[in-house]
Order: sequence, then structure tokens, then C-alpha cells
Amino acid sequence: MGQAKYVVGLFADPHRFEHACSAATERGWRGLEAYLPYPLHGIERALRLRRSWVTAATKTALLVGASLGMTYAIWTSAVDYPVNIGGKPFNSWPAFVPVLFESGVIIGAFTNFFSLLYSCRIWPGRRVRVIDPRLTDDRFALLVPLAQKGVRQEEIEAFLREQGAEDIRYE
Amino acid sequence: MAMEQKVFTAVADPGPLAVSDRLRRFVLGITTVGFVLFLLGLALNAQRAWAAFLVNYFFFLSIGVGGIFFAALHYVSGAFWSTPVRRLAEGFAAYLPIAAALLLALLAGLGQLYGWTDHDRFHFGPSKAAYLSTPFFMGRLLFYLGLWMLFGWLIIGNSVRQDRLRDPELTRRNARLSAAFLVLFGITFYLASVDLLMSLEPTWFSTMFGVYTFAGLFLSTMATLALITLTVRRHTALGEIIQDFHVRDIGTWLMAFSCFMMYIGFSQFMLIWYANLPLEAFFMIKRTENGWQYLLAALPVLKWVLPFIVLMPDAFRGHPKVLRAVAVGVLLGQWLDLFWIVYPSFYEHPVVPTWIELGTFLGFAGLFGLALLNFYGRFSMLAVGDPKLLYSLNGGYLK
Repeated sequence: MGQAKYVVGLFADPHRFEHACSAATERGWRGLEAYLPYPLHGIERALRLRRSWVTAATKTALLVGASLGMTYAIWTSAVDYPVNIGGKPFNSWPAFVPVLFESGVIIGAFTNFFSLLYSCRIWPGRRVRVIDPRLTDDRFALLVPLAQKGVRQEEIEAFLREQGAEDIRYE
Repeated sequence: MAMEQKVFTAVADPGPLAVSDRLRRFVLGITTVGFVLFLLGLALNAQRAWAAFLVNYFFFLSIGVGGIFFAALHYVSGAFWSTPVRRLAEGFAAYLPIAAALLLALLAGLGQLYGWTDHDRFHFGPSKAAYLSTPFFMGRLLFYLGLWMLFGWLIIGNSVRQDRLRDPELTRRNARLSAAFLVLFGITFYLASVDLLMSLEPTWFSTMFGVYTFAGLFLSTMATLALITLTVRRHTALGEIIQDFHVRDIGTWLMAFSCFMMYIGFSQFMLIWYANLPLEAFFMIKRTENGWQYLLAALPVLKWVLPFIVLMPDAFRGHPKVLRAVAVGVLLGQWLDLFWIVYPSFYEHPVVPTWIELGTFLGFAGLFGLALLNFYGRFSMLAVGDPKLLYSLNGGYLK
């Protein structure tokens, strides 16, 4: 317990939990974390979380994948091994659009999947210390960093209790 | 789950739309001006006037049937999000009786539009000649319209009755009716678009064509619904009832179906281009040469790139000004799409739409508007008796 970084409030009621999240950000507290058994719509806005980089990674991969697919189709059909198909020009873009689309989708989808796993720090062999096993069932946890400017630990604790936390932990 | 969200425990019936005499006179004026211009066009260049008639006829017919389709789809799927705007879409169906009357007017233009009416021009086998004969053609189109009106009358009738009776059984009955309608609609709308548009080139065929026109129907119905929802939110009591997230959902559908439109449009084009069979390809050749290719290039921009890119950010999808601009662009794209299908049958080089096309459009838009005002002025603007309404208004389906 010597190196606790967060005060953890455990909530049973999702509405009070949401309210606690927005009340904490309204106090100017930042660096909050939340653990939920299921997604709550709009919680990322209540916590003022920045948009994750997964979207940008997916978009980039999709564009890269699509242009790789197009390059591959043009290179094989028009440059490296040109075959006359029905008298059409070697470089016939409408025929390559399905390739462009599919390669964009597959590379984008894989990037999306793996960057999501990476951004959540989930990979084989990783051991996760669970704050409370009930967090995968019906409890919600709000983590407030201890290192808030000018805020004492007792104050955070009192705030969480006042908001309806049924249990306080240190993490 | 925005924190400032309103919580509904009961909804006051907003009642029918109070249609001012000025508005009604204005729409009536547009209709009159439009049809005077159409008749003038008929006197000067009959074929062009009828071509304009067909483009606008199909444009508004799609939206009219699209209203029933929208309601039926959401009854069958049991969707929650659409309940507050469902009545607005149901109103589109009020145009269908007018469409049936206008179909009889189209009878006068059949000879100008459809080459198959001239028996010496094409030599079809006996069954095709029988299929493409004026009595059977008009008969089955009237039958399709009658079928749509019947289902519209039943489904929307139940929906309106529910306002008063508040009986959830009516929702279940409508779900069953809607399932039957969707199957029949899929077949009959396909066949109607084959008759009205594909038979302009009676030797051409594309199995994708009915799906293509259906994609246009869905897209233009969503765009019209977006425009009407934004307008009534600004000017009526519905502004307090329909929430921002309902508008955003309409935007999401518009964006999603723009992809469907592009997918179907490209599939049809690419397969015909690839196989390059003379029997199929001449249709695309006519429409990708002599300047028509520039119009073709505008279609994916208006019907896919614009809605897809602009509506991608969450904030834009529900933004009134942005959504309105995109919806207008999509409707323009749909109109130009029909123009691109119809006009190359008569014109080797592109013609610029002039007062003939614009006038005919105004005439049809006026009639559509009158039908809408009549419906909205008679029935409540909101499906107040629907058991799903409160859940939808409170955004329950978002959580």
C-alpha cells in the first residue's frame, strides 16, 4: 500500500456513478480513470477523456491498405505481367476498385482490432490486478489520482463518499 | 446520456399541424405555376416535357412509397429511435393517390416516351410484346399503386387509430401487416421501376436495376425526412419533443445508406463494363459519352462522398445546418440520377435542365406539399399512442 496512486470509489448505482464522474471533472480534477462492467453511453464525455488514437490509426491503415491494394493491382495487371482481357486497357481502374476496397477493409479492420487490444494493454500473458472482482459484474469504480494540485487525500475520500461510493480503496 | 437531458413522463399530444392559409395558398401557387410551365413545355417540345414529367414522377413516387416503407421497416424491426418521427414519414404516403391520378396523365405521354409503344420499331417475341403493351403496362402499374395504397391505408390507419385508442395490440398487428408489405414492396417496386425507367430502353436489362432504384428511394426518403424533421422542429411544438439524438439518428441513416447507394451503383456499372456484352453495354455507353460522363461523375459525389465524409463526425450528423445542406445535396443527386437515366434515351448530348424541368419539378413538389399539408393538418404530428414513444424520447435505446 506504500505507493498508492489513486483513491478508488466503488459504486453500485450507475446513475450516481455517472454523476460522481461529472462532478469530479467539474471540480477541475483530471487524470480520472473508470472501470465499468458494461459500457455507459457518454461516460467518456463526463470524464473528459481525450479521443483515443485508435480511430486515427484505423483511418491511416485503411488509406495505406487501400493504396497498397490499388498499387498491387496496377503493378500486377499493367506493369509486371500485362494480360489483354477483353481488349480493355491494362490499367483499368474500375476492375481494381473491389481490390482497393477489400484491402482497405482488411488492413483497416486488423489494425483497428490490434490497436484496440494494445491501447487497452491486453495481450497474451499479461496479468491484470483486479481492484475488485465485482467490477466485472455490477460495481463501478472511479479512480481519482492522489496527485491533484492542492487537494488533500481526505478531501477526495469525502467527495467520493458524499457522491455515494459504498467502498473506498487505494490503488 | 447527456447530463442535461430532459426526462419525459408523459407527452402532450401536439395535435395536427396548424396550416396557415398563406402557406396553403403559396404551395397551391407553386403547383399552378409548375403545371402551367409543364403545359407550355408540352406545347413547345412534347417529348422533353414528358421526359421531365417522368423524372419528377419517379422522384416523388419513390418518396411517397418510401414513407410507408420507412414506417413498415421500423414496425417489423421493433425500432425505438424512429417512433417520434414515424408519423412525419407516414405523411409521405398521402401523395400516393395523387401519383395514381398522375399515372393516368402519363398515359397521354406513353407514345412520346416509350419506344415499345411503336410496334414496328421493335420485334419482340409474343410474351415480351404482351408484357410491354399499353393496357397491361398501365394495368399492372395501377395495381402496384393500389397495393401500396391499400397497405398504406391499413398500416397508417392503425397507427393513427392508436393515437386515440392507445392500444399496443395495434403495434403488433402493424408489425404483421408490415412484414407482408415489405415482401410485396420489394417485388412490386422492382417491377415498377423496370416498367417506368428500364423500359425506356426496351432491349436493355440489368438485374441490379430494381435494387439501384430502391437505394435511391431509401436515400431520398431519409433526406426528405431529415428536411421535414428539421423544419417542424423549428416551427412547431415538436421542437420540444423530438430530441437532438433523433435528428442525429436520421443523419446516421442517411450516411449509412449513402454507402449502400454507392455500392449498388458501382456494382451495376462495373459488372456491365467488365462483361462488355453489347446487349447490356449500350445503355452505359450512351450515358458515359458526349458529355453525359460529367453528369455521371457528379452522382457519386452528391450521393456518397458528400453525405459520407461530411456526416462522419458525430457532431455534424445532428447539426441542423449541416444535415440540411447534405440532405438537399442528396436530393439533388437523386434527381440528377433519374435525369441521367431518362434523358440520354432521347438526347445524345446532355441538355441543361431549364424551365421545363424546373417547372415540372415545382408542379410535382407543390402536389407533394399539398398532400403533406393535408395529412399533417388532419392527424397528430406525433404517434402519441405508440407504446415505444416514451422510451424513445428518453433516449432509452441509447443506454
